[in-house]
Amino acid sequence: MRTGPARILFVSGKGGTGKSFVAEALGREAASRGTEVVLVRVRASASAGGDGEPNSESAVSPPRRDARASNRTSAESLVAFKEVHLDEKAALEEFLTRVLPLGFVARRLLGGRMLSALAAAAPGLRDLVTLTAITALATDHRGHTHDLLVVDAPATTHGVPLLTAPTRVLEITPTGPLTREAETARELITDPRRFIPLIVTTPEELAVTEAISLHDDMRDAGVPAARVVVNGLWPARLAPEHAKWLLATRVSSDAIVHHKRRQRQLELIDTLERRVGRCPTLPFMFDDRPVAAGVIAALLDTVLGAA
Amino acid sequence: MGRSSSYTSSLAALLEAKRLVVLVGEGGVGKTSTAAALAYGQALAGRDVAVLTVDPAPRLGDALGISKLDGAPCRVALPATPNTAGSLVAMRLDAKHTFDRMVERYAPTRDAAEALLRHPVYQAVSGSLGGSEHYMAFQHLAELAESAEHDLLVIDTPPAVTVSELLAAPARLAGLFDAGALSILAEPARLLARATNALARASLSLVLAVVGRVAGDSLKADVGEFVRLFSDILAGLEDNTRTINNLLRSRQTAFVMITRPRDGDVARAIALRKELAGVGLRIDAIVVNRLTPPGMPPLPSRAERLADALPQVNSAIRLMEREMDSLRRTEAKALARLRAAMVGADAPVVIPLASLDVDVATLEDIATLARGLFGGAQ
Repeated sequence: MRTGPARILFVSGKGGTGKSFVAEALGREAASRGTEVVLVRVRASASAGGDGEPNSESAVSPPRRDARASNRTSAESLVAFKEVHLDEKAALEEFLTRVLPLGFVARRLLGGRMLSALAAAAPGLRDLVTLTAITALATDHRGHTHDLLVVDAPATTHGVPLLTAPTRVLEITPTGPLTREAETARELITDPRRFIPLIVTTPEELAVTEAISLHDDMRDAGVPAARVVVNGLWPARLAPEHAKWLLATRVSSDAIVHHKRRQRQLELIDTLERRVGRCPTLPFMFDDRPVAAGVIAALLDTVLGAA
Repeated sequence: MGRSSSYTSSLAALLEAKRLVVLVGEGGVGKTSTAAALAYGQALAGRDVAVLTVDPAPRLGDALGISKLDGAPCRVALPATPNTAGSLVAMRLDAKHTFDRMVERYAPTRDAAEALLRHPVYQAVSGSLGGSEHYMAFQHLAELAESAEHDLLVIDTPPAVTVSELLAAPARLAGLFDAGALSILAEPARLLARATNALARASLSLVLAVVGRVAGDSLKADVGEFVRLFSDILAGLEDNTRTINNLLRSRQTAFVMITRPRDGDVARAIALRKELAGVGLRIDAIVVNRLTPPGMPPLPSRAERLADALPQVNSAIRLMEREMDSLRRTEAKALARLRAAMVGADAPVVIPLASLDVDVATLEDIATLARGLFGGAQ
């Protein structure tokens, strides 16, 4: 058990890469080792203003448990693992209500439209508020600090708005109360001992291209070097000389498809690694069984060991 | 129109009466390549088709001739066959230019349009407004629909976190420039005076500083001017939003969802359909993309050859075959689960689409996908 401030494992990637799965698996693995873990799922708001409806839900809520999820909880009730959902729009509303104690203005703000205008005019503001709300979750209401926050960041195709927010805000208002929040956030996300960014990608062309640009955007944002994990690598089954024999004799169309699929993935991973360094991989699953616990444990070692 | 008789699948029949096809689905499921294939197949069937894509993978963009970012339409070459009377044009969404065209169209005068287009606040926000990409995709669609230059428009929507976000886009943009919201931005001093504590003032200052920074030194004058200029096109914008909403709900529009044959993807597809139904939109077809095709029958000489091979090669190949079979069973189960959930009068057509086993990179690949979509479906 460690003391000191919580570490943040920030898991990002485009949709469909298994980002949420990786975040949860790593969080549960860490919890099984006695680490106190909070998994934070960040939700971009479903209707970020414009509908005029105030959002009655609070920014942070426990997840709705589906039947499958609840099966797990009994077996793992001894493990210090907590999952919360963070709604970006609700977080901004809470923030504005707190800092703008004006009946009229607050109502206008909560009306949704003005909120959109504010968020559009100062995009850094919303992202800073979200980032601050995430870091606040490291400490519970009794002031107890958890060991590890695993953040399932919103799916992104372009850039990392959450991580550039502190700098964007500081550029605009170098002094004032928000400056302190922005500086605290920037200090945190640039500290390699506390902030561990992870990008999840699949070994497919578009996903790899986007993972590289996400990696570069993070570097430009000044955060510690992000590790990229490749999810869904087909297994190696044949030595190269045997593969040659297979392709020459064509004894099995399935084996050829299998082999070629992996070769194509290896080419893409090669391209990826030339840009971002060594990438750990998770195996492709031919059925719906979960990835072996040992594989997740090894990934967690790689990811946290780098910190 | 010289429609080929070989294109009479359930999807082809469904699209016959449609003029718009909107593809929805999560990122990474192959929406763009399916959009291209759907458009290609319909062009081969004799229709004049335009496909509008948002963010094609580099090589797919190359194949369609739209890898450049300029948004210029590109005519896609179709194979010359006796009954090809159709055509295909590919376009890439350019949100900024679409926004510009909208301003030109709804501004009361040419000068007003010019002033707005040149305005620093407009230049700062038009490319980056929340939801503007979604809105502009539909806006571009509406323009194309109006032009009547094409029989069929196929649009590949940007990846949306939720469908409601996607569909809220038109209302959201209009809401953003709602006169009430803008009047506050136009009179920042009044709002600042009301903010009583330091943090409140700091937040508002931040907002205004952003506006100030993009607008240059004379913050109030610039923002005020922007608001005045933009107010002039608000009525047009609202009309436009109504047009787009009507277009999306028209009988001539088909919604096609793309998903993959895995349990999680299918579960999300079922949820997405329910969510769309909640806002009165009906999914007409679901394409289950990237199904592992059946293995080829073994060659007659296969048994001997395998017997001749080293034992470890033999067992490796058997393992690879078992893994491929296992994958097909997993996919079949997911597909069955989807079909079981798609019952009732308004159930969408479910179209399994075999994986090409390569990234879609050439027109030939697109043609193969098109055959999968229209040739042997259900």
